[in-house]
Amino acid sequence: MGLNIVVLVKPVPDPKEPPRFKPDGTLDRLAMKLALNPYDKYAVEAALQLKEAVGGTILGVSMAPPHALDALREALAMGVDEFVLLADKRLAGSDTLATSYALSMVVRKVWSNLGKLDLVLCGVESSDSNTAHIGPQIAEWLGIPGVSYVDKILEVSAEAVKVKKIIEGGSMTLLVKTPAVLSIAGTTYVPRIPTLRDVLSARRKSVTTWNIDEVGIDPARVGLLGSPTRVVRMWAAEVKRKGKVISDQDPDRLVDEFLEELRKDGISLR
Amino acid sequence: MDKIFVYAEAAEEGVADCSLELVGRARALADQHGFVVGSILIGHELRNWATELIHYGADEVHIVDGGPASTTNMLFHAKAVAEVVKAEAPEILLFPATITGRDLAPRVAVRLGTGVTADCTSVEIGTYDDPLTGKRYEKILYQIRPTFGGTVMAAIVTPYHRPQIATVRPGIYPVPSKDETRTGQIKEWPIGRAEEEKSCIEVLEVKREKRKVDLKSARIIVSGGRGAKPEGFKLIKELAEVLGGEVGASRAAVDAGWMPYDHQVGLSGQTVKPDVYIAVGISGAIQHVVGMKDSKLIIAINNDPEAPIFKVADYGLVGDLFVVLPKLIERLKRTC
Amino acid sequence: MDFTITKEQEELKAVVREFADKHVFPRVVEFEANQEIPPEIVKEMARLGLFGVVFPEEYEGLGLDPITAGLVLEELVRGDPECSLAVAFLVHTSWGHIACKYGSEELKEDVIKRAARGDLWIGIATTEPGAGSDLTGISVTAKKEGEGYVLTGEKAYISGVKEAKEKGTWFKDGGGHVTLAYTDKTKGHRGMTLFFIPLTDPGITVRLEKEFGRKGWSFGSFTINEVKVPEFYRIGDEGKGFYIAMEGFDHARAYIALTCAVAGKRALEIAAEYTKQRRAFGQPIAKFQGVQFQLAEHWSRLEAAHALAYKALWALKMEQEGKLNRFEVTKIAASAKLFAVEAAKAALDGAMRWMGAFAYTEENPVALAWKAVKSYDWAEGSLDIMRLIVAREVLGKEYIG
Repeated sequence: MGLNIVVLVKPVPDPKEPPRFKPDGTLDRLAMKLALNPYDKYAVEAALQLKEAVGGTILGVSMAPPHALDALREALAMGVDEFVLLADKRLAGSDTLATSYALSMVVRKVWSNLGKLDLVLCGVESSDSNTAHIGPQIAEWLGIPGVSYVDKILEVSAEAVKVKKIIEGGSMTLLVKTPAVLSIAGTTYVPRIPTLRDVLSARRKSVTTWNIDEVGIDPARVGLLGSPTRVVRMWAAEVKRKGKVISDQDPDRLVDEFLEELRKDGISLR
Repeated sequence: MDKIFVYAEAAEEGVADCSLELVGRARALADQHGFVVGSILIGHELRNWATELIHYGADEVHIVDGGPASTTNMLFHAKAVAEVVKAEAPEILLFPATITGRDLAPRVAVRLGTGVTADCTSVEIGTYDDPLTGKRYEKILYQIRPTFGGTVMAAIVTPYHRPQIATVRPGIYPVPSKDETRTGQIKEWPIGRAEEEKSCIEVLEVKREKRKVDLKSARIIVSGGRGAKPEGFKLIKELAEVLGGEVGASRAAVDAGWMPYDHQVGLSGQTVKPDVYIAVGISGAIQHVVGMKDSKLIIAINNDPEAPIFKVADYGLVGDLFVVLPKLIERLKRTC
Repeated sequence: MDFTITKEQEELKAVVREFADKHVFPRVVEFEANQEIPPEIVKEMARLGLFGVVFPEEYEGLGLDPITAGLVLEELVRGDPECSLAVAFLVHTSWGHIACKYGSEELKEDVIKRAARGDLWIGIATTEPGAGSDLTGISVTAKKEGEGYVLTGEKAYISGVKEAKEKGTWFKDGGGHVTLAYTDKTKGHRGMTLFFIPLTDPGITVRLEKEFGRKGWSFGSFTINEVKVPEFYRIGDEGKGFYIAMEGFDHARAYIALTCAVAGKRALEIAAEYTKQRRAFGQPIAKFQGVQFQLAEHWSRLEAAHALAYKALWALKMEQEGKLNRFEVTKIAASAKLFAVEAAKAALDGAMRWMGAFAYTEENPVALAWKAVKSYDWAEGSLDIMRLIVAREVLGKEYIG
């Protein structure tokens, strides 16, 4: 059948390393080592398994500054065939609405270049901002169906996919008309570790870089000024152990007091 | 008067607690800053639930009944919320940061061309002085959330676009007390039928089920040790289930055969760093601690007040786990 | 002088680290307890290409240099301080390289291609019950017979005999050992020849030893009962076996030096973390200068050992590029092994002490590293032989023996 699959990936500060701050307390993004968003690896793995099952082409897409390409190359090493990088200084400061708009424009262009598009896959969220917005928002911008928290792609045909999606306390099976956007969650798709040979050959795969004009993105709708939300300030989360030990002979009072402490500290156990 | 709207998520029997929590929060903000609290309820034959929402603090409830399929069809929900919000023009729109809310809120934001902030741990009303325009905005929603894997907190505002949309983590705010004497308006909205979305997405099956153990990506781990005994692990599993977490174990518990090896946390097991780690009947031997010390929040339950586990815990409960756990489970079941 | 590595090398390292963190480190205690590496781990190593690192691309290898192979090995040791994976990797890499360099075209087509794919493991068999440091005492003989050779004798204390003998469990085709034999006993050193012997041959009987450490990779002896191999399984010319073997040892010693330095550093990291958590007399034991100063001493020595190991790997690379001669390489490799083994043993001893009684259990990766490093008092040339080599190269041959 031959599927045309777009996988959206994002470079994130390496989750294995602590965040770095500038002297003024803001995040020093340039000093942080970048890695491929771990959740996106599930999406890449899902795409690879689909390709292995029915054939096709996998195109990686990312919106990131050019220096992030090293981190994104892991997707190529895993088996993504080609890559498109949307890189433009005017995109800096974009929030999720602006980012999803820009990425949806890239998908539109890729779609028209390919003539046919079957699936857009992405990780359910990113390990740095954890919003889970991009998948559903791209589906909205493109006006195609989108399903988030997809645990497994069960069947795929030329017109539709059958997917299992996670819901609170269970799952739901859906039949979704393609093209569709699927945000992959869960650990069904254990990402393969690329082989050393794949790592070496990833450097030879084709990477296309586009700026926003080449994609037809309206500069007024991206970047800091095109973004509805504003970060007012950021501060390091307190990580010191609180060390609050509660002791009470009466178990009811013990539990009450504990839950009250949590509430006071604004902590949720969910 | 300006409005704060809350999306009312459906649970099996009634409005989910996470949405009631937000109605409670919206009520508190409204009372302090002068807003009307509204709620949007989507599904089939839900008039009784609307009354509930009013009893919990809503001033007005907007019901969209799209037929039987409207419970599960999220495309219909996105469409319905967007329509109601366009007509009612609330200043603020809150969703619970559940799987449903985290899917719906960003969709609605695109439909309305506004911003959305995910997973807030606090929402406040305040004044915003915009450094770009030099303009002052009154009664702005401050959306406070952890970012960078929880290592950084951020305060976010949506100054120029309406509504200001945020999803809020469940369990942050208490479920408000119910007042059956409260009254409010209920308005029904005819926005088509959910079946119309069937050509795009069709729900084939809904299933409740358990997932297999995955300590590495678990957000919550409830672990048992030597003190737990096999009977204790029954309670530990129940607590994990209530919280949507996984079960971990110390080496002692694995060696004793109470739990399989793939649950073991510690130097000779797995190193984990969930959002919440609850150590039950674990003394806190160093071999165990090195495997969990980077958890964001550590809670210890142990009957020995001198147990070393309390030294690495944020919260310690000194007590008999066989008495404390059932109480805790019962209380948590009520709140989430 | 430049210690930076290329982006490509960084990416290769990252892949091996991910494998080691995810699949290896959590199971190290299991290797020791079950006395084997789970086959799926070895198969994953093969899939990742870890058995093909140094082989030329035309024989399905990756064509990478010894320094890059060292970077890969380093990650394997970090994941498995018990060093079984290191043995599997470094023996195969060193002796596979030798087989490839001196072997015939047919051997490369047959053996090296399979080795590079990870379908066949390559070991080394020089030691015998009656010959170790003095290899002229070996008794295995190879007789020319028609189109091949017939070998007879016994090899002892050999790594990987089980993995090579059992076809299909760890490697699709099992494995074989680069084996030193006399083709002409009257000529001493000059009468020795190397052969590749598949251990899957029915004429080979394997007997396992209970090894003291690095238990994940088997260790034992095998008897060769009139095993016939084709002529193209001969590695290098007749009579050149001893000298070619010495070259192979240089490779193995450089990798061993790296293994010891990294296992020692990894153990110090684990132990250091422990000293931050462990409290005695009212404070974490990391706060005692008695611990701090020892830690600093050991760390510094291991840093030196680590750098020297890379110098040895660099020397191997330079030799391949024709920029250093054999004697220079042998000298550096011997120094590297000598220094790294001693530095690592001392560091591991210290690390175990800080970890208290828990150190003295088979659950503690530091104790497992200690046992593994101890094997390099002997393996691939004893420390006294290393001393002899270095002394010989410094003083001149006439002052030795």
